[in-house]
Amino acid sequence: MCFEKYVPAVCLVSIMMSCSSQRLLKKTDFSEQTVTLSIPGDEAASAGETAVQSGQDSIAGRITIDETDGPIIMRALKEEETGEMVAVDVISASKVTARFRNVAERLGMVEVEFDISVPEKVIDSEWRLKFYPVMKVMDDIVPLEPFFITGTAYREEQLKGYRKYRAFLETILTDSTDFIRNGLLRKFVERNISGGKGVFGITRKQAMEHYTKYALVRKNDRKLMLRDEKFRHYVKDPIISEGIRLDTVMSGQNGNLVYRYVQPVRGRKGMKRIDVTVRGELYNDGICVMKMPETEKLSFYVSSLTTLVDPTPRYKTRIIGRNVEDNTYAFIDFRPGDSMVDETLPGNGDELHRIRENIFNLLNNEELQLDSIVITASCSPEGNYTDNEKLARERAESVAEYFTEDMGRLENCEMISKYIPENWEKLNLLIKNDTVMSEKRKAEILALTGNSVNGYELPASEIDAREQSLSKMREYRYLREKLYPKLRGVKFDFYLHRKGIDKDTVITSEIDSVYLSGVEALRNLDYKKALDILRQYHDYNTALAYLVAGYEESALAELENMRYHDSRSFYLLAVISARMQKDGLAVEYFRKSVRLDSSMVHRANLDPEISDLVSGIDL
Amino acid sequence: MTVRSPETSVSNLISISKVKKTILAALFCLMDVCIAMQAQKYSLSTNLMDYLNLGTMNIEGSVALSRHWTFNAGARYNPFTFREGDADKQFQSRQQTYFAGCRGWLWHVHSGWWFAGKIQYQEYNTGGIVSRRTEEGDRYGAGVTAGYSHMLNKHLNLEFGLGLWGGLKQYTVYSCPKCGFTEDSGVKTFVMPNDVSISLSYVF
Repeated sequence: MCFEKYVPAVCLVSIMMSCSSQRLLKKTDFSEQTVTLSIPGDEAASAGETAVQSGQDSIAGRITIDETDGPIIMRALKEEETGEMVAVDVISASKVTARFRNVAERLGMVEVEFDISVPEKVIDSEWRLKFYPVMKVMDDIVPLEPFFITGTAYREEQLKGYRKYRAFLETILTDSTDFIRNGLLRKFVERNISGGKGVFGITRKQAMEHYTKYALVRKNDRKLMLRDEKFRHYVKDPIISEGIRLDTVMSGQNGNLVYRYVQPVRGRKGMKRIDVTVRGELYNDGICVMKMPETEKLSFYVSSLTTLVDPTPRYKTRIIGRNVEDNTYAFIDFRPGDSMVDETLPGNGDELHRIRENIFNLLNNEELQLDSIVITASCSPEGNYTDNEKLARERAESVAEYFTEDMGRLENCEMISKYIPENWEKLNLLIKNDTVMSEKRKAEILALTGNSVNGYELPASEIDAREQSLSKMREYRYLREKLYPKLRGVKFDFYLHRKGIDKDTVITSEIDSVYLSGVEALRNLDYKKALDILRQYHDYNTALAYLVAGYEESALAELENMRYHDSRSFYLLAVISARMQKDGLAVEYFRKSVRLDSSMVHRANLDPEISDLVSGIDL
Repeated sequence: MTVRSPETSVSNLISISKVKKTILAALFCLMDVCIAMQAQKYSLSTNLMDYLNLGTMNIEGSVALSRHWTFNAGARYNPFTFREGDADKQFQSRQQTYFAGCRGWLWHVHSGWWFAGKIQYQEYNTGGIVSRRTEEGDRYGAGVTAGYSHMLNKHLNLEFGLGLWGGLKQYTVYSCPKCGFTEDSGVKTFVMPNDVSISLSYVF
């Protein structure tokens, strides 16, 4: 066949095609800055540090001197003053690009926007370019989503790889029945196995194992294990759809490419500057063949209205009562039937010491004056009511006398003794809260003890009868041993007043920590929290919180209600007016702000709402 | 050279046919018994390749002794003489063969790979096929065979087998199928292919 004579030619063409991109790769000079970053729409407009990039036209302005060349003829002009001819040359236009921009933080977010310019010479059908923008925020390096430029031939190769990989996957068996010689197994089972076992003890499981193609299983397992390896082999550089900004396919003949990258950044406390750089990689045949030098950094200076926060602490009002009450309960034991305070009885020493200490502390308190102590002694229901009444009264008097004698400085303090003959009310409370007795039994006992009735209204005989009935219940022993002792106590009620305060209530001032936390939240750009806290205060910071959170109407209402305005509040009014498209009003408020504080002129440059509006106005 | 009439040998074969009928009848009885007995333990088969050997009829029965072993017995019979009236063109491969042995099944009886051993007796008269020389006699010996049994359905198997058998033979060689000129005779050993088989087997 005559085809044979074309074989060398076909081989040659294919080799040439495969080598063409490699040659192009070698020819392309990557040592210079191939990819550049720039601020969108900012050409020689922004002030500050600038970088000069020579455009292609500037090459025309370069003069190359070759020894073989003839005399160099340059353009010359005659200087009027001296009359000499002065050589001049026209330097072509240069592109001046700003290397920084001020960006405003709004609603807790900052929008970083920059252009990535990729020259045509690095865009080729057989190449893939990967660009990795990196953002430096404070001390953190934050990688941004990469973006890719993929050549059409490169993409076709990728898709071809995917097709090969899919074809490989299709050879992997997923149905386990494919591993079994089903026809033979079915015939064997029909023939030899009826029910669970066959004629010679063969089970279905054994039959299945026998007719399983283990070689095929092993082969399939090997393929399963090789999946990742095969993927890497066939699809060297995968097509990614998630976690990237863009993957555009280009033929390489579309001219330069400029991609505008917009990245919202959540604001952080103290975030003043964001630097952005981009590094690039060039892929050929699925392999990274070139790493492009990192671009010059672009800087974004972040301005936030929260820098206008009023740091003045706020004092909150608080209402404090003049009179103060306190009480304590002491378990002072007495000898049966006796009312004398006996310090030698077990536990009495500690209890009396504790009460004495309490009274001493109250007497020595600088803010409070002890007015009176009410001592109430009570007995348990055990025994005769009349006797208990007498005993409780005497014990109360005895305790009052004890502390009056003991504490000599009680001259300005009135000591009042009270008594409860039998403390049924407390007994009822103890029964209700008891965890040992059942609810049913507790209800029965409470029905007998008369719930909250303390016994005063009833004749003594009835109260004694009630105790008598109680004693017949099977829980009586438990009540007497565990609960009754808690009824035999002495309660101390202390009545005091604040020294130097004649009125019942006064308004004192102290730093409002809640307000401070709201201001701190505002500084931390946590606007939701700041607003939750500050909305109740209706002051300048409340207005600022509303404004930065995007509630201009509410912010305006707060500012309009303020009695006095300073440069900052006028400035906020200017920003609000500008946002509401009331340009004239905004300029007016801005003038007022600058009149009070001239530095506000510079502040306006940081806020895009009013920067254009007020630039160039006559202040 | 000893002269022996081939007619005599043919008449001998015919007289032997009575014996064969008896054996065949016995095999068919065995088959009936097999059907009546437990299923899948018995089989009957016939080798299709034998019919190519000038219509040699054959049958082989087997009974399963265990999961891996069967006892096999069978017979082949060919009484046919072709172009008998023409001394120059007559040819035949007459025989009656009886054999019995055991077959070992690697997986399970009547399924998959197997190997077999057997003893065999054969009376034969073969000649006029390749050359005019004709040999008749008796062979006694043992053989080994191996093969594979493929299940076609619940009852039918297609079996493939290949084997050898050898032993002693008492033979007479004639110069033609229908003449009495004896060229050679005697007793000697032999080894020859056996059971080149493609068999259809019915498993009960």
